[in-house]
Amino acid sequence: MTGAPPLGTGVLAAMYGAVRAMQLYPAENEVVKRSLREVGEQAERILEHEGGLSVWVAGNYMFVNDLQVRLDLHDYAALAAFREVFRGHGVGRMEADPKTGSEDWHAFLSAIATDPAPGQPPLEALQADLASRGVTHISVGPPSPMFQGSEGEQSLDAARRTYARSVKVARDMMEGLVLGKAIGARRAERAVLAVVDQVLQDPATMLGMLTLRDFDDHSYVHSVNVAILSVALGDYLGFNREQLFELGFAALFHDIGKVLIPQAVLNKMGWLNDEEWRLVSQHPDFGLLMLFNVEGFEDLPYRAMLAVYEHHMKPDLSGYPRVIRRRRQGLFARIIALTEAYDAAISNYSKQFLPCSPDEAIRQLREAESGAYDKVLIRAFVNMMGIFPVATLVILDTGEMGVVVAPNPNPKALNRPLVRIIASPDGERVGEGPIRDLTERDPETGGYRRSIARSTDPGRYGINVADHVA
Amino acid sequence: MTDSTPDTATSDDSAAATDDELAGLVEETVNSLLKAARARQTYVAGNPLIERFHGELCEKLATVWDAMPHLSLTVDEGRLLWRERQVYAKDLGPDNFAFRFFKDGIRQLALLPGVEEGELEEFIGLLARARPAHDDDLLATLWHRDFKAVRMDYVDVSEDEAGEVPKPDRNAGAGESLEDMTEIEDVLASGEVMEDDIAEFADIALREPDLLYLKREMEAEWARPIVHDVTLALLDQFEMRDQERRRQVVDILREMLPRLLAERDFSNVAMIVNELQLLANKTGEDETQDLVTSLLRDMSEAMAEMVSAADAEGASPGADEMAALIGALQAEAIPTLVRAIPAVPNRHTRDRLAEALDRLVGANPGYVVDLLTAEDPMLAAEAARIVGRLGLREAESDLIELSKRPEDVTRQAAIEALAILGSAVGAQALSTALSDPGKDIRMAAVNAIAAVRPEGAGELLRGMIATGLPDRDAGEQMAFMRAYATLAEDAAVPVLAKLLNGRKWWGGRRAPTVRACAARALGLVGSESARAALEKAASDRAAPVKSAVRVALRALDSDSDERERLATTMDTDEAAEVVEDPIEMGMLADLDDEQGGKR
Repeated sequence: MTGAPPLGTGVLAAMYGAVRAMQLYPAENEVVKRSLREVGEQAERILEHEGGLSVWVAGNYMFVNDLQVRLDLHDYAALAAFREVFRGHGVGRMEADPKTGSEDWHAFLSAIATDPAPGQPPLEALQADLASRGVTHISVGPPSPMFQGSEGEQSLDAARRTYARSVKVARDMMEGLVLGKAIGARRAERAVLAVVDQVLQDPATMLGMLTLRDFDDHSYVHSVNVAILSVALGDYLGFNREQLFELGFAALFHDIGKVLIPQAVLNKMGWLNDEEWRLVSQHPDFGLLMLFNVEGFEDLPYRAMLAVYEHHMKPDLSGYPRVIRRRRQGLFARIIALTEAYDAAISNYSKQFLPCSPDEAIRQLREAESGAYDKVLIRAFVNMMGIFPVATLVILDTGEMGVVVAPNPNPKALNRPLVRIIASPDGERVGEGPIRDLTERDPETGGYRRSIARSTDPGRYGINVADHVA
Repeated sequence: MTDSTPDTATSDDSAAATDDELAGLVEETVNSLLKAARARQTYVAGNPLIERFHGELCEKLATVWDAMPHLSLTVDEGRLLWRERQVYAKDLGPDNFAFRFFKDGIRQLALLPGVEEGELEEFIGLLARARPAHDDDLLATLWHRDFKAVRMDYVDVSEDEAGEVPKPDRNAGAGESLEDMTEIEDVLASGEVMEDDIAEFADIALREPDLLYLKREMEAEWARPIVHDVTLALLDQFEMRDQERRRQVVDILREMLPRLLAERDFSNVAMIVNELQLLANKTGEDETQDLVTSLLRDMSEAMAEMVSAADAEGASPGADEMAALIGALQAEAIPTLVRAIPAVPNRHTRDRLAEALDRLVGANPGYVVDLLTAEDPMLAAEAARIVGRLGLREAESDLIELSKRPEDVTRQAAIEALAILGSAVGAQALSTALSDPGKDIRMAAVNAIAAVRPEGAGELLRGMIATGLPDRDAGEQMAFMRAYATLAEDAAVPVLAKLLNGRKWWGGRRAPTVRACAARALGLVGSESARAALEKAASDRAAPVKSAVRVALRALDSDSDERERLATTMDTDEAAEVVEDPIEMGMLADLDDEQGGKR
């Protein structure tokens, strides 16, 4: 299910406000008192309605009473910071029962407002602190792993079906347009909203679908991949659901203009000559004009048209098509430019370049020439994907081989993702091996149990990473 | 999509009893919900039943929230279930609410506390408006609405088969050994590790300025004038691409412009027409010019219509936009302008449109001439006025035909236009109109004849006036006599003198109004014979006559302009005001009444 209780954002914001106040002012300060009253009121409303209040953090997402809190950029900074407060104390879950009173809130928030002392597991230290303060109605626990047993498999099944269906819809839409048939608006709409819902529910699983490359036509797979990546990035940035829908729709059709380019040109091995390049570089123009032939939508998809038209323009407008009348490359177009480049880099669509590993694609984006992509969006994208994105095949310093299955829930551990072990140090394949969190430390030495030594090419080993992430 | 909304089912006997009661409550609530939806379908907004059913539903929900944290329903093909208990069922058909959810893939529906604080009404409205027969997508509608207190789970029921969905092989290669151990051996031998210190990636973290930047960019994206920017893209395409592309762009704009006009988006319309005309001139290519002109011609009627309509709504385009739109109008707008201008309330807009009309008509007179045969009498009449104003002689024959139509407004406009054109051909029609059933047309005709002075008109008027025009009111009598005096000059004196001083065969005199009008007309003639006739009546006992004679004699002693002025004060209804004394005015009215109320 998507959505959040009306009060979820409010109680989290109130809690963070109280934490900040306590960090800045003494307890008797009026600002602190007022902020604690706000927490009490917000929490009371939820407790009355729902009989309990739980807050838990999974990855970059926060949930209040099992329902995801939708962040938007207006409260992103505050709530993201509050998420870090939880993480800093190793807290994955907080539960408050209906008897929680103002003293409990004061004690709890005061405890987490204090930075954890070094040298001690922060969660244990916090639990001890709460006990010493007499807090009995609020409990804290560790984070839940991102991947979960049978529930995870159901999520995977749903993600696969959504993915496959989206590829089919993309194919039918684009081929239909070439033949002059009206686009089935309802089908396109359903495909996009399903992608959005899947990304909102489990972004890592949906990102794993990018490894499915067993479909015949790469163009349509690419469109769906760009849609998934764009929606995931939009979600990371705090777009609301409707905004994600518009972004997903634009991304799904970003290359629609290519259906008017001869396959011989699109599939040509080697470099394109001037005439071929002139044709290919007009696909944004074709796409804009084609979207005017969309039927069945209440309104013309103007925002999608702009994204389709602008996605190769570059922020400095040095791309294509040429700009005569002053404009800016829109945010949607900048997002799609980035996600398209990433998917193209890791895929074998391009006849001019060999695919690279996901981490190498991330590096290429970071090192891209100035003006090619939005630098801040690149940072956001890397933060979302991690240095070693899902599906990267890695060799660990232990000699184990693994596949990255999710970014680390700790946003500061960009280079320490969750890795499924698929081969032991002696080279024996283990099939569906355990998932290892690379931030896990050896309690004796204090050092990391495992670190990534290098990423490698799955083709070298005949490994299909999709078997482990999709 | 899995349901993450927890339920509170328990299994012991006391809970089962409670569940039965709760199921009853849920069933009542569901019925209440559906009743509220049906009321919205059946009754117009504001009907008290709608409010009543909504209120009952809110009361039920309040009771539900006391008993459970949320109301979760499972959607079956024709049923709604709560904890596997049926709480709604109906035969499958368009009236089955459960089916409406089910057919679109909705399998779970939950209402949360707080729904009645705003979203409930909207939810009911959406439910009521969903039309199964029209294949409305309730799922997509609810999804886009993104309710916070109404949630749903759904499955994809589209006809798409996902096809062969690749299944992963989780145990692929299990038990096998990697053939190539080189890399692993290298790693173990070297102890290499990716830099743990991510200083290399220190620039990756999103900082406060980045968040502010993203927030600004989001706001900019949603404030972006997307229609305007799409239009700029189309114009860029028009400018930089070939003729085929230009045709495509124009075809798109041909569809887009009516939509923009209907939305009163004059800014974008003005930009489009301005830019296209500039670009057409810039290329200098006939084909491009024709393309643009063709588009403007197709749009002219709509543009004229919308500018007029917007003015009536108080939503006129700005000055620059108006200038652009009006400047782009082509001849095809003429009928619309002719019809709309008289009704435009804002004078400035009316004047601008009238200027445009004059410009267009001047360049395309044929359009206006064609309108003379329009079925719409108002349109035809307005066309006649324009023809007259612009002096379009080629329209004379059409005007003559127009002067024979049954509608007064068209005949009058035709006569007035013919009067302006003043040709001999038209004069016959004017003469015929002297006997028109409509007074205004007769007046127009006689005034026109006085101005045009067609041959033979004097004789015609003499014959009519000699009767004394007993079936005409004073105003018309004066107009006719004045016209006669103007045309015949001194030759008019005998007839006029006879009317003034003569007696009927039985010795009686003409009505005072007739005699007064005759006196005035003699004053306009101004000759000595006219004076003699007037002096003879100087001591007439009828006060209106006496007064008129006095005025006329005064006129004789005045210059011609003053004579004309004095004479023209007898036009139309002012004929009755020849008498300065109100008592005498009453006597005049009585005398008219004697004649059968000819006014």
